[in-house]
Amino acid sequence: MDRIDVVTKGSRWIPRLAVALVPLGFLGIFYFYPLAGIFHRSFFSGEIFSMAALLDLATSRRMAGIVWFTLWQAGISTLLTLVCALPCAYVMANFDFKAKKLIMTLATIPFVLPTIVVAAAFQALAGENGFVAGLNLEHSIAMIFLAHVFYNFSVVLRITTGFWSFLQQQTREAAAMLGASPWQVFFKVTLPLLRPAILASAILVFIFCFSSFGVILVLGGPKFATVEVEIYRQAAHLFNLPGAAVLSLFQIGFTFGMMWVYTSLQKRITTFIPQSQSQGLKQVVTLKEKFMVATCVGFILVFCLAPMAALVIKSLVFEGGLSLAFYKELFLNTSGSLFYVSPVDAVENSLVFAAATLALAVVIGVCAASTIQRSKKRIGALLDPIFMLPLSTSAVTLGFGIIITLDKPPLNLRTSVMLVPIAHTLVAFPFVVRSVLPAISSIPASLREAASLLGATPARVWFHVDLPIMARAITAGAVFAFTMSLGEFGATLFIARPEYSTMPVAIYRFLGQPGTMNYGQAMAVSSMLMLVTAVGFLFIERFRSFGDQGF
Amino acid sequence: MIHPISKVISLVMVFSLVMAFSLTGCSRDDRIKESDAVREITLMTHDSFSASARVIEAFEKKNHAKIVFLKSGDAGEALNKAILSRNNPLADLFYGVDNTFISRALAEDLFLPYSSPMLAHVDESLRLDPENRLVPVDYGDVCINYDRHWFIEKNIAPPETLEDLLEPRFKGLTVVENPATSSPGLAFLLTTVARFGEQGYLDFWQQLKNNDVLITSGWKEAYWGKFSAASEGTRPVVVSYASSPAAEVYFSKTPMETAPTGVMTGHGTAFRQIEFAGILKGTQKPALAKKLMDFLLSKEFQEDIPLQMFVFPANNEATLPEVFTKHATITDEPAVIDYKTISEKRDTWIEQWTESML
Amino acid sequence: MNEFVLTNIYKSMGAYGVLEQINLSMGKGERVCLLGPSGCGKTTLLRIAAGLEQPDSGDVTFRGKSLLDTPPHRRNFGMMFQDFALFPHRNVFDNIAFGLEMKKRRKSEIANRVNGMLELVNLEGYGHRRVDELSGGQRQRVALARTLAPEPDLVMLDEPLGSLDRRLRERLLADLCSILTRTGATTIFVTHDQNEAFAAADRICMMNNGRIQQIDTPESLYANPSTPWVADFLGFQNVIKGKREEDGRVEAGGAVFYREQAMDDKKGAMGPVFLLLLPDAAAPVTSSEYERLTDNRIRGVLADRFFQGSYQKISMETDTNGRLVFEVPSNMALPSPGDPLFMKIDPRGLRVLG
Repeated sequence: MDRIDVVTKGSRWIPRLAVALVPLGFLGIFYFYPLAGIFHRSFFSGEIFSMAALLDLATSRRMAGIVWFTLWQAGISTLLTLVCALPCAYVMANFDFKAKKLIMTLATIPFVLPTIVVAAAFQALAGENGFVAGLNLEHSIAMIFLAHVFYNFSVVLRITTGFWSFLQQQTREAAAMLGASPWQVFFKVTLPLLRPAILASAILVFIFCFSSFGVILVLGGPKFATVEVEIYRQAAHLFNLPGAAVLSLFQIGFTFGMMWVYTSLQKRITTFIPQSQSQGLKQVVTLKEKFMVATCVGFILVFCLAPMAALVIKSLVFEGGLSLAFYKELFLNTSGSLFYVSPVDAVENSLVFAAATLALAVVIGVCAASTIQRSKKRIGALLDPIFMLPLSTSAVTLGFGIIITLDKPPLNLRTSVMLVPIAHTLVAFPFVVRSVLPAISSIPASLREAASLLGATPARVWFHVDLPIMARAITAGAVFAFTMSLGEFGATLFIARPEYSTMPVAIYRFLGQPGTMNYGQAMAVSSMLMLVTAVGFLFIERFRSFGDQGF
Repeated sequence: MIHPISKVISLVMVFSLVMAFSLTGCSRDDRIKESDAVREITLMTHDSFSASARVIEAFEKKNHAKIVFLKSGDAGEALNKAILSRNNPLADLFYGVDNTFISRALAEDLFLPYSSPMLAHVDESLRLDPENRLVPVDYGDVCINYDRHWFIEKNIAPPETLEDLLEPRFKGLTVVENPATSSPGLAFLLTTVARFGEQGYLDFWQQLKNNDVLITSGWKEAYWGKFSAASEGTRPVVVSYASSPAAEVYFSKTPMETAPTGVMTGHGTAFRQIEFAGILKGTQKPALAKKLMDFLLSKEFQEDIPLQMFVFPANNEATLPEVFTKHATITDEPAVIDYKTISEKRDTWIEQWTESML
Repeated sequence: MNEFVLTNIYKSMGAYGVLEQINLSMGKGERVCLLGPSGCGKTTLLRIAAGLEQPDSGDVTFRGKSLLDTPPHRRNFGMMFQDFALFPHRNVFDNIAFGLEMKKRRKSEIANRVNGMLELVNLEGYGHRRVDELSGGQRQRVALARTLAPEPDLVMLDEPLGSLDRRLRERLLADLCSILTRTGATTIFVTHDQNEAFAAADRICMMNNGRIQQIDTPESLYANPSTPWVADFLGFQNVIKGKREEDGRVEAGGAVFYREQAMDDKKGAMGPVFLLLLPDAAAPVTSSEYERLTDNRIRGVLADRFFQGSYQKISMETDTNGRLVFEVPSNMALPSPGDPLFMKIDPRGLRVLG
C-alpha cells in the first residue's frame, strides 16, 4: 500500500475520494442504475412475473446445458488463446527485429471486425469450398474456438508482452547469479513474475468468451447457445424479460464471483524498478532464435493476416478483375436514401466516437486502477470485480435498462449521441484497468516517496512518476479502448441517427439487402475499417514514443 | 519542466475530451433549433428501415416539421423498447411491427387508433386490426430463393413445392434460418405449419433434416455465408424474400435481363409478412402524427418503399418500379395462418422445432 | 541551537513492535547516525522524520516549529533511499533536476546546479545516461546528487551503502563523507554497520527494539558503552555478570573488581550489574604475582591464541566467569594452551554497564 497516503490522513482523503468517484459515479449512473431499473421492472411488475416461471427457467435442463456450454467453451477458448499467444509474447518481449510494431498491429486488427465479416473471411479459408481443402470447420465447435482465438489473441499478446519486457534484466541477472538453466529460470523466475499479466489477460479473454454473442450465432450456428445468446432470444424475440433478467443476473453474479476469487487469491504483485524496453531486447543471432522469431511471425501472418487479406481481396475483385468499383460506389447514394452515409463521414464518425471512448476509458480506467491499488486489500478485492462487470453484462439487458431509467432530464440520454461513447466506454475501460493495474502495482513505493521528498505534491508525484511509468500500460489499454469502439455496432445501432453512422453500421446496412454491389461495398468498408484501425494504432503508439527516452 | 511523455499524454487527453464534449454540443444544436415553427416528430423503427431523402424532405417542408428517425435494433428489440418506454415514450410513431408480433403489440395497448383516409387504398386482406391502431404499410413474401445458374449448370429442375426439398436430388442443398433468432426463419416455419398442419410440420422438418438441411442463426449468415449465388457457399437453395431477385438486379453494376436467383412462391410456399405502423400513445403532437401517418400511407412514400426496403407497398395505387414488376414476385396464394393463432402458438412451435432440429 | 528535534516519539510498527520514548535533537550541520540491527525501528524513525509516516504521539520540530502537519513535499528534507529509488523513465540529468523542477527553478539555473552536482559526485558527462545503464556505485552517487541538489535543510540517508559490495562501500563511504562535509548539510544516516557509523557520524544513536540505547560521539560510545547490548553490538565480548557493593566494588564470580573513577559512574546503583572488561585491559602475571593482588585479577586456563600481527588475541576459560577474550602484545610470553593463566586487570579497562 502506498505509504504516502497514510500521512496526514485528514487532508489527503478528499482527492482520493474524488479519484474513486470518477469510475464509481460513471458505473453508478450508466450501469447500476439502468440495471436496477430493468431488474425491478422484470421482477416486480406483477402481471408478467410469476415465481414459477422463474423456477422453471432456473431448473430447466436446457438452461443447465446452456450454462455448462457457456462455461466450458469459454475455458477452452481461453486456454487455446494462451497457448497460441504466450510463445509469441515471448518472442515479442525478448527480441528486436524489423517490422515488429507492424506485426503487433496486424495481430490486434481482428478485434474490430464484425463477426459477420470474419465469418465471410473464414468461409473463404476454412469453409466447405475453402482455400484450405478438406478443412471444413463450418458450424463446429472448432470454428468457435478458432474465432475466439482469432479475436482474443492480441489481448494476451499485448498485455503479456508489455509486462514481460519489464522483466528482462531481472531474469537475466537471476540466471547469471544462480547458474540456472534457461528453463529453470523460466519456470522459477519469469513465470511467477509474469503471472499477474497472464492472469489479467486470461481473465479478460475468459469474460469475453463467456459473454460471446456474435461468434456463437454467426460462426457456431444455431446448435450452440451461450447465456448471452439466450438472453437475446428471451428478451428480443420471446419478450420474456424476467427470463432475460435472471440470466443476466447469473452472468453478473458469476463474473463477480470469479473476479472476486481471482483478486482475493492474487498475491501482492512484486514491485520492481521497471527497466527500459530496449535495454532488455536481444538481437536475433543464433539459428534457434531465428527459427523462433520466424515461427512467431509466420503464425501471426497466417493466422491474422490471411483472413484479413481475404477480405481485402474480395473488396478489390469485381467481375473477375481487379477494380476499385466497390470503393467508388461507396461515394454514390444510388437510391437517394436518407440514411446514406458517405465513407468519409463514416470514417469521421467512427474516429470521433473512438477518440471520445479512448479519452473517457483512459480517464476512468486509470482512476479505477489507482483506486483499487490504493484501497485496502479487502475493498480492492471488491472494487476490482465491480469494475469488470460491464464486460460480461448482456448489452440487450443494459440497453433496455437505459430505456426505462435514463429517461428524464438531466439524464435523458435515451436518444443522445453521447450514449455511444458512454456505452463503448463501459466495455472499454475494464481493459484499461486490467492493463494498468499490474504496472501501477509494480511501482515501488520508494519512487513516489522520493518524488514527494523532492518537493512534489501528491498530484505532481502522480503526474511525474506514476503516469510516465504507466504510459506503456496505458497505451496498451488505450489501443483496446480505441479498437473496441471502432468495432462496436450494437450501441451505435441503438441510436443510429443517420448522421452518426459508423463504419460497422455501414457494413451492416450493406449486408442487409441482397446484391453484389452491397456485398462488395461491405467488404470495401471492412477493408477501410482495418486500415483506419491500423493507422489509429500506429498513431497512438507514436504519441507514446514521441519524446520518449527509450523507456 | 514537465516530462515529455506526460505532456503528450495530457495533450491527447485534453484533445479527446474536447472532442467528446463537442459531440454533445453538436447533438444539441442539431440543424433546427432556432425556429419554433419547425416541430420535431420522432419515428421509431427497426434498423432495416430506409427512405429517400427527397421524399422525407418533401413532407418536412410541407408541414414545417422535422422527422427524427430512431432506429432501435431489430424488429423484436425495437418493439420491446417501445413497450418499455411506454410511460415516457421515445417517439410519436412506430413503424415496423409485423404480423407475427402484432397481437403482442396490440395487447400491450401502445397505440392510438387512427383511421387514416389513406386506408381506402389498402387491401382489406392486409388490414388485421379492425380498430386501426396498427395499420399496414408494407408487405413482402418470405419464400425459397434458388441459384438459377447452379440449377442450369447441374441440369436439375429448381424446386416448386416444399416437398421437392425432401427429394434426394436436393440433399445438402438447402439453407434455412433459425426461427428463434431470425424473422424470415420464423416466417418459413409458419409456412410449413400452414402447409402441413400442426401435426405434420415437424415430420416435414425431420425429413428436411435427414436431407441435410443447414440451419444458420440469421438471414445474413445464410445469404452471404452459405448461398451459392451470393457467396463462397455451396448451397443453391435459401430462405429469403420474394423481392430478393429484384434486389440482386438492382444492386448489380452490370444490367441484367434475368435475375441470378429465382423464387418459389406458388402453392402456399410463401409466407406473407405484413408490416404495420401506429401512433404511439402519449404523443404530444397527435395532429402532426396523424399527418405523418397519412404520409406513410401516401402514394409518394409508398412508391419509395420498394427500392429502399425491397418490400411491396401496402397502398395499391402505388406504382411499382420496373425492376420490381420484372423481377419481384408476389403470389396470390400465400400461406395463411390467423395472426391470433400465431401469437398463441408461436413460442410452442419454435420450442418444438428447436427440440427436434437442434 | 537545536535544529531538528524528535520529542517523545511513540509509534506502533505492526509486526515489528513499537518505537518508544524516542528523543533526539540535532544541531545545524551535525551528522547523526542511527545504528542498530535490522528491525530495530531506525528506518521507521527516519520515515517519521521525513514525514512519510506519522508518529502515534510525540512531536517532530524543525527550527522550533512542529512539522507534524507539514506533508513531506513541503518539508524541504532530502532522503536517499536504500534502493536509491531513481526514476527509471528519466535520465541521470533529469533525475537530479527533479527536485529543482518541483521548486520551479529557471532552466538555466537547473542546468547549472545539476552540472555542479554531477561534478561534485564525480559523474561529469553522465547526464544523458539512462539510469539502468549505470553501475551500483554510479547509481548511489546519482541518488546522492539528486538528494542534495535542491539544498535540503536535512539530509536523510537510508542504508546508503547497503546494497553495494564491501570494497565499493569503503571507497564510496569516504566520498560520501567528503561530499557531506563540503555541503555542510545536517544529516541523519541509517546503517546497521558500526564501521560506517564510526567513520561517518558526529554522533551515533544506538537503537534496539524500538528504543534508543545510547547517544554519543563515536569515541565516547566506544570508550563507554552504556548497556550490555550496546557493548555486545559494538563487538565487546567480555561482559560478565556481577553485583555492586556499597563501596563501589563489583563482585563477579568470586573475583572483585574496583576502579575508583569507573565505579563512580553509576552512583547509588547498587545490586546486580554487568561489568565490561576491555580487550586490552588484561596482562598476564605469574601465579605469585596473582596471589599478591587482592582485586582486579582473574584466573583461568588458556584456551587458544591467535597471532594478529602487532598483538595476539588470547581466549581464556575462567572458572567462574566463562570464556574471556583479550588482546596482548605479540612479544608477551604466554603459557601453552591448556595451562593455567593468571591475569592482572588494569582498572582503567573496567566499565560498569547499567
